[in-house]
Amino acid sequence: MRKIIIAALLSATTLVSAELNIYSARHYDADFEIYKKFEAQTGIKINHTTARAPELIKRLQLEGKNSPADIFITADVSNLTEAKNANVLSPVDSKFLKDTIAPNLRDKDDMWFAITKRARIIAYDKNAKIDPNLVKNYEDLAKPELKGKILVRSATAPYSKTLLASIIANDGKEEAKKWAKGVLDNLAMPPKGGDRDQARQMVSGVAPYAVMNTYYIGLLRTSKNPKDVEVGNSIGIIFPNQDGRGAHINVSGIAMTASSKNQEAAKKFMEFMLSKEVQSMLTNINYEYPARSDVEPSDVVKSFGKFKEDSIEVSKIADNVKDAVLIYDEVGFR
Amino acid sequence: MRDKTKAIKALGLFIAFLVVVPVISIFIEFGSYLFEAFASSDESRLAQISGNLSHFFEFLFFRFVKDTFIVAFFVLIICYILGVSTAYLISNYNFYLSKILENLLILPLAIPAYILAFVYVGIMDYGAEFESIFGFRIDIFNIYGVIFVLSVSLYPYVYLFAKSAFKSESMAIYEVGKIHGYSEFKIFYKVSIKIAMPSIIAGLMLVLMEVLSDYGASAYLGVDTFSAGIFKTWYDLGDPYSSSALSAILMLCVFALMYVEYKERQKSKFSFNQDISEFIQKRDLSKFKSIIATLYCFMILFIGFILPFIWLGYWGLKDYKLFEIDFYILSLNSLILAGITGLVTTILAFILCFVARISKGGKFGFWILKASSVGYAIPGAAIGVSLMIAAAFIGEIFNVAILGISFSVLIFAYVVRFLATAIYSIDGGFAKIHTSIDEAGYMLRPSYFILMIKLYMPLLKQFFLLSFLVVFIDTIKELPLTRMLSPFSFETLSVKAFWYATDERIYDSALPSLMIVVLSLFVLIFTHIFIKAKRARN
Repeated sequence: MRKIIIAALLSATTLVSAELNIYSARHYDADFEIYKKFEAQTGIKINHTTARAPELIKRLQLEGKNSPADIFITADVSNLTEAKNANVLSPVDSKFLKDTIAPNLRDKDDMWFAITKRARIIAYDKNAKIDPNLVKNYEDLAKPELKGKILVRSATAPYSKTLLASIIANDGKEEAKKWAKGVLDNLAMPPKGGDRDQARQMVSGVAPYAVMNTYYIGLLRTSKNPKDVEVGNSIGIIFPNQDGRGAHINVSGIAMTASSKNQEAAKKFMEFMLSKEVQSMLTNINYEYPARSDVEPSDVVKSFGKFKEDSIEVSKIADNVKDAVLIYDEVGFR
Repeated sequence: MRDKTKAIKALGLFIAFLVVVPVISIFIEFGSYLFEAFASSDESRLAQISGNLSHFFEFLFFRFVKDTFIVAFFVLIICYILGVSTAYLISNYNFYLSKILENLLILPLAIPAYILAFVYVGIMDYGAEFESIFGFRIDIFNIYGVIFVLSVSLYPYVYLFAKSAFKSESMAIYEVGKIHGYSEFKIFYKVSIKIAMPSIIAGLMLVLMEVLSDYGASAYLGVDTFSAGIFKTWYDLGDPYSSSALSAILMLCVFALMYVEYKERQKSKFSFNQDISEFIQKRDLSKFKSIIATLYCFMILFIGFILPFIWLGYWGLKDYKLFEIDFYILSLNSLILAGITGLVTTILAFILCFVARISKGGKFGFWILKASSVGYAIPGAAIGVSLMIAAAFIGEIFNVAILGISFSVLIFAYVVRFLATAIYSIDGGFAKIHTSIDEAGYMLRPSYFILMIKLYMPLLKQFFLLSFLVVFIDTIKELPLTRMLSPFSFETLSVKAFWYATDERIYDSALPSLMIVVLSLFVLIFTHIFIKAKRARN
């Protein structure tokens, strides 16, 4: 009996002393709650550092094998690819992850795995008179009859970059450049502010259409400020390219670092992120689409409507991000 | 004495060297990267850098430089007008509320420029407060918005420096002006302002450096400043090397400007006696003029501080986090970090200024001070990267990861970044001490330590407090370094506010922003009481 108690005590202390270090570019209350939950369930202590993805990648590169990090988390697929190309990640062989995440939402070499999805949609002002057949696809945004009718965020926003990258992946560079130029010519005003600002400008009558991210519509509709809620409820959502490839999605993802000295715990945490319970938390607290297809989106997210997703491998989109940046600059899209 | 002089100069050199290393290591890394590429004749690396740089110069350079120039030019002019006018009124006249206003006018500095941008976007929004009161909207998503936000949050630098200068002007000058039949206004622009110019220019230099390194506010309001360009090459093109090349260009420009300022200062060298009893006395204003002066100062304060403060308070105090222990831990983190940094930076700046002083204003003193100041003009993230490089390099030697476990790297980074503000504050004080005092002091053949403690410290007390205050406020609102170099699971108010703001949860960022302002206010009051108590004892 005494042996058992000692053994139990010892195992308990080893559990408590286990630690997991996370470098994350996501800074959401939801994520912090998930960390706490993981600590409570496993006894593994989580230490986290949050910075912008390029800063974290640079830090991983500089620290090399000495890096204390076990896990790298970031929004935006181009950052995941960037980290992979910088050789700071290590592959994770997990049957569970492969079974739960669709192949287009993870790296083909098992370097990273999606945890959530967001869709880039075309928002329209419910109070404006618009022809429902005029805008159905992303490509339509460049039509000359939409002159002065569109609002888009700055080209430096990650979502703007991946959207153009997805157009390059689907239509080729030349077409993409024409599209970027066409959209630029159609803007009601120069790109400025964040996604919420696009929505507010649209609803106040500056232009009937805005390119937005589903996540921010969720933020608006649940805002503390009743004015924001009003704006959020005035937004109609067009999921583009439903008769073709489907709407463009971007992902947040998780990876194990090359320097991880705690691979077991790291793998455990990655699988925990994809558990049904955590996937529900992410969609309920953060208005994102779960990466798992068998987890219901939250009510807010469901209210956006059902849609067909572009099933292209998201990593293919990331490969075109740099070209997208160059094209935006060349056509003068700030 | 000569040996001691060598020793103290060596100490100054050592501190300057420590501060310059991280700034230079950006370029060392870039250079070694290029060197490796040449040595291994790895064409692809060179092609990538030259490709990115030529892309930058072809499509972006002109746009970025133009915007930076316009923003810098107008912000400097507005800061000059606001800072000098309020400082002169406060230090020369008694008018309603002038004692309270004197302290409050510093406060806009405590609201980070990017938060101010968010607040004003909120106020000026469609159907928001401004429109419902005035019936029209002003769009601030443009270059005018950036100029407005930066001017309002940076004029206190000029105000602070000009105020210390005006306050320590000699009564004799005023009397001479009066004898010549000058009007009050003529004394102001013919005499006072000219004497205070070195301090005013120091304040303007800090404003300029802040403008050059600003990224958050400009990026949000849709204006391309040069710093935004530096980040664009790194974040968007995934090329940190090209961005260090651009940082180098920025640094050279700043150095050139510093040199010009130094040359100008050499031309107009004068210091007046420092007999405390002969400082300028405040004069009373007529009732009407009093009201005008009060309204003028109040208006600036209202736009720069009161209105944003009310807005932040309105949203911040609704936040349930107000009742969570975590939030107070966060606040304590910020307070301790900023306090330590303020202290350390002020001490180092004092040593450096002292070394420059005893080297009798020669080139040596100039280079030591300027080299230690250059970190202020470079975007924080670039300094952050170079400190990562340094920390990784040391970690390599001892086989440990330094980042993530200790505050030393972070505090050191703050010192590199903010030493400029401390140096400008204290050097401005030294400039006011007549060189005859030095000569009298040297007669007694004291040790340098005694000279520092007994002679200069009492004379510079208010400049130390100024330095501490400015560094404290700068640190508590600092972003990129705190984000990049903090130990694990350690967060500060500014980082919290920043993440909420980037995530467009602007109402959630109100509470941490509010606390930044409250803590700055607290330190301001504390330093004020400290000065008062000292005076009473004396």
